[in-house]
Amino acid sequence: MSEELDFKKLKDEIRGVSLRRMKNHACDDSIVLEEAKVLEGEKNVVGRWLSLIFVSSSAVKMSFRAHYYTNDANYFTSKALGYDSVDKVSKEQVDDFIKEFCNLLAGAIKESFELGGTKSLISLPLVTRGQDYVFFEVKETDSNPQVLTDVWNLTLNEHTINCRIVFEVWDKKTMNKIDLLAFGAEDEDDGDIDFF
Amino acid sequence: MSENKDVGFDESTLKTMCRDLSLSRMKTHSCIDDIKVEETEDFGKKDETGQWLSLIFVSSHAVKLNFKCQFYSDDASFFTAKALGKEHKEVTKQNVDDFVKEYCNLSAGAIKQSLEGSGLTSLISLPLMTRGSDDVFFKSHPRKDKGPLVYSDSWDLVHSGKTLTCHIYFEIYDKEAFQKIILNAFGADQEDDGEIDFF
Repeated sequence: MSEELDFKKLKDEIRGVSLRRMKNHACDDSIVLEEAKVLEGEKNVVGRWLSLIFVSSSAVKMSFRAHYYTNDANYFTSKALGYDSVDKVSKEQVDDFIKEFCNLLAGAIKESFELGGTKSLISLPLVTRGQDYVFFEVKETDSNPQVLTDVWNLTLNEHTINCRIVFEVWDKKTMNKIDLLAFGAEDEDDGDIDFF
Repeated sequence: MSENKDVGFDESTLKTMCRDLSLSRMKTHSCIDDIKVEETEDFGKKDETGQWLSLIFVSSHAVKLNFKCQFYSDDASFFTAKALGKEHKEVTKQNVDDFVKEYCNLSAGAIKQSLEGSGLTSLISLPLMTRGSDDVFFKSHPRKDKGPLVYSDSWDLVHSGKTLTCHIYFEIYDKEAFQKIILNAFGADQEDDGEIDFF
């Protein structure tokens, strides 16, 4: 517990849990995880949407964002709802689908904090326009706070949801206690997600 | 109200400007003329359970700010009903959300205008709506080092016992540019006729 946090392992665990939860949430096992380039600046954010959620404790603040075009999120949502056409999906259903995905992932991270002995709070998920990411940006720094980020894509038949996570670490000792095993907990029993 | 000792600008001018701006926007938006500004209890110590929070962000290279409006549904329904010319009980949650978000947009838009008037390009977010207890996620983390210059203020807009609580939070990264904003946008006007007369 006193060792430095293995951020590569943390990233791998979070990517893994995001993939598993999206597969369950969208009811489609063929979703794949892909590397993403730096999110902002390289893609046109106009026309995109952003869902975000926060987990906060005295030691660490986490924000998770899902960036998507309506067409792509419609596709994922149609799979989840068992529709045979994306045309049947409403904007409200898409918002609910993505917000719930954010909630599922942030819930897993909150659980890992709690199992490590750190109490934390989780926000409601929000949806806003894509270009508003600038108001939630945190620059990467080594200290005060240390800022750790990761970006990846979840892709289903060429439809992509872009994920980004940011950790602001204000207390490294506490952050090091984060229980990475918590991310795999749902796989151990019966393959079902049985918490959050 | 500033969390730093060396603020380098006239806090009282900024405080008056923000409060007056929020009041004038609410008067126009709600069609109620005799709304009063009152001191609020400590914004963070209010019972947030059952409250809602609308917030909006403005950002430039010199200053970042967020403007928040925290409220109970019943209080905001009252203002919304006045604005829509409806009975209190006829107002829907959607009506209330739209009313308060638009109010935040009007208030933050006026501040953005003042930044632009001083030559700073700025961005404004869409207003967001969430539960009151989520205010904690939009506060900066307490710092041991100096960090950016910070100014914040909280006040109530009150009419007939109904209250909307406003909060503004500035993070100032370029003190000189910010001083210029205060002088250009808010100081010059007051010199003319004693009133803040634009936005």
